[in-house]
Amino acid sequence: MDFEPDDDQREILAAVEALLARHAGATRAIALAEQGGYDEALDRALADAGFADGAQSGDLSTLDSALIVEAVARAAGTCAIGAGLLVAPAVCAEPIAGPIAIATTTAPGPVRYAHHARSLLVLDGPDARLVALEPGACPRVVSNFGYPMGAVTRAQMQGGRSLGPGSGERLARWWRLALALECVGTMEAALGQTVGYLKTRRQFDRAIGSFQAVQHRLAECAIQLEASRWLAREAAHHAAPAEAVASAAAYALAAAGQVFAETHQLSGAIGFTREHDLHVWTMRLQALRLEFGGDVAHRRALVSARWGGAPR
Amino acid sequence: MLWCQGFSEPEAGSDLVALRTKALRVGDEYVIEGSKIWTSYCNHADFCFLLVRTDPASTRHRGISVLLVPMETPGIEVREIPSVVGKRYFHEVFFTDVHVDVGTLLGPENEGWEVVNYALQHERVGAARYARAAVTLDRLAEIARERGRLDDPILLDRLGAARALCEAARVLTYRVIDLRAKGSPPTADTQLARVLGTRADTAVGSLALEVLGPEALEYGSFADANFRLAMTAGVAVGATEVQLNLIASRHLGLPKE
Repeated sequence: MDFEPDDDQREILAAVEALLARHAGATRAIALAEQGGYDEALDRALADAGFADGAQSGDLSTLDSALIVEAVARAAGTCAIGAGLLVAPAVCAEPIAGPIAIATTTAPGPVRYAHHARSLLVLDGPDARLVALEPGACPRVVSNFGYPMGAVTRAQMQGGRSLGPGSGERLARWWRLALALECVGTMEAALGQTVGYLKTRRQFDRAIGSFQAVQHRLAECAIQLEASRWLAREAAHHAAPAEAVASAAAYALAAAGQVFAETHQLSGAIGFTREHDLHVWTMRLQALRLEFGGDVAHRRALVSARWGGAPR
Repeated sequence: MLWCQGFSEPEAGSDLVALRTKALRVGDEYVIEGSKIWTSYCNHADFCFLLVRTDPASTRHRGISVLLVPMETPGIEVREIPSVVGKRYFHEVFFTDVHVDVGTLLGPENEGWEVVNYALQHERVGAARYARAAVTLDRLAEIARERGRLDDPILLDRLGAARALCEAARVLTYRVIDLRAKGSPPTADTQLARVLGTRADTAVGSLALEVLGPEALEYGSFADANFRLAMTAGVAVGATEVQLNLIASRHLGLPKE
């Protein structure tokens, strides 16, 4: 893999960033979160610009798509970009209606974007299933974790049709990748927000960010972020091999726990308030950690992919 | 040909620019006086990449030079420092009235800090500790399986975490190598990779004790040997805390006091 974005990738990212500057950001995320809303305008803008199901049409490489997913997460976009750009093209032969939610039969509970979803991808053991939904079919679940959520019933998960042999394994791999990438973008914004604040916030007659005790903790977060970023991008470049995506997800979701704890601790009380934007990203980090079994499940999958034979 | 690095001194460890070993120019020679410490492999080395102060009036980063000194030069004495890391691992090197030709100077006189900074950027990812750790980890997983311990959920979790850590260190190291290959100037990416490389090493070293249990107590056993090699990782080549300082200032742009 080339670790530097090429000219095309730079161009794509610039276009996506420009679009996100108009259609995403903390203020918009906060407004949507207050109503449990989904950003259909952002979805449309991404689709109009050709960034909706590009991997399917072959215009975008998997790494291009990964960079877009990272960028949307960084801008706190409230749309199912990971599912649309990475997961659905890997398991469905034809484009499917968005928004797309993803659920697994092994982890019941509120599902991101399910309330608004027109398509539900379900991981059901070795199979993936595709379930068509009417928006609103999954009741809204009020949540403090930054994404709109819906409740998916067992009956809904068992509806629809199987996507064929091997589809469960494919869904699991690309879901892990999408989660890792969303985590990377979200962590980057949370850490950036915190570092920016601590450069200017003064106590004891000096910037808080000048204390070595603080600097070391932020440096540790930066290490976790960059490691997560390059693991996820490398996995995307290689089209989501089982071991690489398990490494990426295990690492990124554990890192997310650390970044959550440190950014809040170092931001002090202001970090918990709605007037300060930190929560926009940090609360989402926790939601990502809880999806698909969390980092423990990803580490288990990693052991299984690397050394085999581990019980599930 | 084997080289050792004459960097650290008893009063200049993490704070390397506090070094005092001096080399005074006398005609066509430098005369070296002083001592170095923690010098790995100097008992086998043919040459020493030696940091000295060539301007006696200088302090800190200025006035330092690099000399490439043959270890067989008269006046050099190597003494072993016994340690729990293992036999013949740490040494002290004494330089008493050591005469070397001025041709041993590498780079400009008194501007050796630039040379060594460049070298350190490479040294910090040069030894692929994560790769050795990953090989050891594979063996540990195999041992765990042979002993029927792969159904222990806690051990599985630790194996998974250690594997992810080795991979994280690998990919950050690849990133640094890629940057260097493209000729980009040194960045704090080196420090990011370095810290994770040492973390991977120590995590696997400690996991070796857990997997092998009391067998690790025997000197020279698989777990013991790995544990001993890994235990220095966070200290060698600049302590982790120094790397974190550099990440804070160069990568995050955090202010000094």
